[in-house]
Amino acid sequence: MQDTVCCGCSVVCDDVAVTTKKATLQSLGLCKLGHEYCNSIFSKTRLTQPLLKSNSGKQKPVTISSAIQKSARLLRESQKPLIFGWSNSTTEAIQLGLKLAQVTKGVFDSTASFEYGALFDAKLHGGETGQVNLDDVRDSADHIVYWGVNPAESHHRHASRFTVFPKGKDIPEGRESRVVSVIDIRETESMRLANHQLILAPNSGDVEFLQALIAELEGTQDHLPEKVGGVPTIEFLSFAKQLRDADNVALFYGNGLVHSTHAAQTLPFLAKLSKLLNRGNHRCWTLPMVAYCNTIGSVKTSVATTKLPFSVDFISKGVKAVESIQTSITDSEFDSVLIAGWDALSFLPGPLAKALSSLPSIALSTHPTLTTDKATVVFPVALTGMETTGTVYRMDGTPVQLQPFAKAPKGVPTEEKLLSQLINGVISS
Amino acid sequence: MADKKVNPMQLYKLLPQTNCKKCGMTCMAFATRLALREVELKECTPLFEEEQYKDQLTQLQNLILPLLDTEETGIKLDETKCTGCGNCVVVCPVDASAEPDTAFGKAARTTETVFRVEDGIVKIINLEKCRRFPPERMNCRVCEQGCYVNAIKIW
Repeated sequence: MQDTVCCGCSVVCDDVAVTTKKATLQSLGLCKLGHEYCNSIFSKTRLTQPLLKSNSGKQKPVTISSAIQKSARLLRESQKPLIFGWSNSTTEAIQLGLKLAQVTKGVFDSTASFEYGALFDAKLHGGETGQVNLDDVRDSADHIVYWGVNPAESHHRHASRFTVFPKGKDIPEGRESRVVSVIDIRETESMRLANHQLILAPNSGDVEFLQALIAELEGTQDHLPEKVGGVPTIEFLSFAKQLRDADNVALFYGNGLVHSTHAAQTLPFLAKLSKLLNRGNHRCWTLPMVAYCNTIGSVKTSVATTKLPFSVDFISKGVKAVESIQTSITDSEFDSVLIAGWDALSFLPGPLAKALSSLPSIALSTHPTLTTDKATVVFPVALTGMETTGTVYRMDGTPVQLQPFAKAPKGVPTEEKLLSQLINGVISS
Repeated sequence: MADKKVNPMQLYKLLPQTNCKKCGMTCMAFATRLALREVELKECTPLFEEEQYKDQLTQLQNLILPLLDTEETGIKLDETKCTGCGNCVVVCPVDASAEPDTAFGKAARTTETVFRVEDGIVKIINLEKCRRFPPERMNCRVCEQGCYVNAIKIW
């Protein structure tokens, strides 16, 4: 067995081991999602050759040098290319993605703008995530809140590694020393672990609940109705009391809150709640449950290079923020797109995917996807984590060094190597 | 006090190990299920019919005695439901003493724990260490309570 780092989700488990025997993977400690992710090194559908779309519209295998030449020409001749994706790429590849956007005077954007863009507007994290350390959460958090996220399905080992079950320095009894609250609009598997199972009314339940919670903590609550945002008042009051009494609250929020109908109101309220709970010796850590292994890395790298978290427009002098990447895409402001580290067309809403699929595109991918199906040029690349060295940033912003255990198929480069060649191609041609 | 723990491997070593499947399974599976009290020793007919196993039969009968005076109990794991989250690994008090890092959230990596996540799914690798079995016979259900998906059933 060989130690490795799993890039299957943003928990980035680094306490796991694998071995490969006769084209099968054996693992220790990897969850189902992580095991299947690592097992994809044996996938029979792996991309192994660059593909180029011919005039007939069919993709045909070409050499890597001609694919690079064609891509470099495509990017150089573009007025405004979009350099896009990155959440499953290494930080080193993301740095080169930013450089490519710079040399092509394009726009750099990552999935962060779609996943959690709104939270940056709410100034919940001061423009950058990563002020929370999950090791501190494990050691000291005595009240765990999951809001609009179901880690039982999305981040399997989150609760066992860092939040609900483990013992920590100030948490001698593990689960028994913590209060756990799960807030959602339906009953979820994660609620099985919770002391407070709070089911909000869809649509406006979150706003009502947050407003009432803030008023309760500020001591300005006048009158409470029978239900608060769909939750019986007695349950609401009991939750609010335990939240106030906790020394260290760790509040994890997900798409259910970020993408709710009233996100423009809920996120500033959440920021206010966090501020209220951070008083005296009491602390409240708030952290988004991003999905991919290096979403935070894309934000950190972009901030370090350009001071902007994502949606960075490289203009002739410096950079400026793109106001709305969604509008820019649907308004056809881009004339080509390079997508790396994400199957964008499968995940984006219909109108955006449709607009992107009509552009000449370059896709860097490990497997055939909807994005590669529509691409003008397809580059096969190595799998992040299993076949590449480099760094990714865990959901709390902790850097983790990758420990590859396999070699990419013959002739398949890493994203880093490919992007270097592409940048050279653009500069020299 | 005699050791009352019953290890499936101990049972297996005393079984015929011919995998004749007269009981409907292999000898190893029979040993595991015998430790769980899911099958009875008499279902291994060669043990009782063939003279060569006489001594082994006596030893086996002595070995399973502690099980017979135990309250009915067992743990069943539904691997089709398990997501490999490792909640059971971290909460299990036996795992915490066998491999202390597991109590702090680390994955079980040794062969000493009750639970270990292998290939994305949890496996019970040392059932006989579970506190529900002799000599402790405690009414511990933390693994069942910590499971997201009801994959662990205790009776």
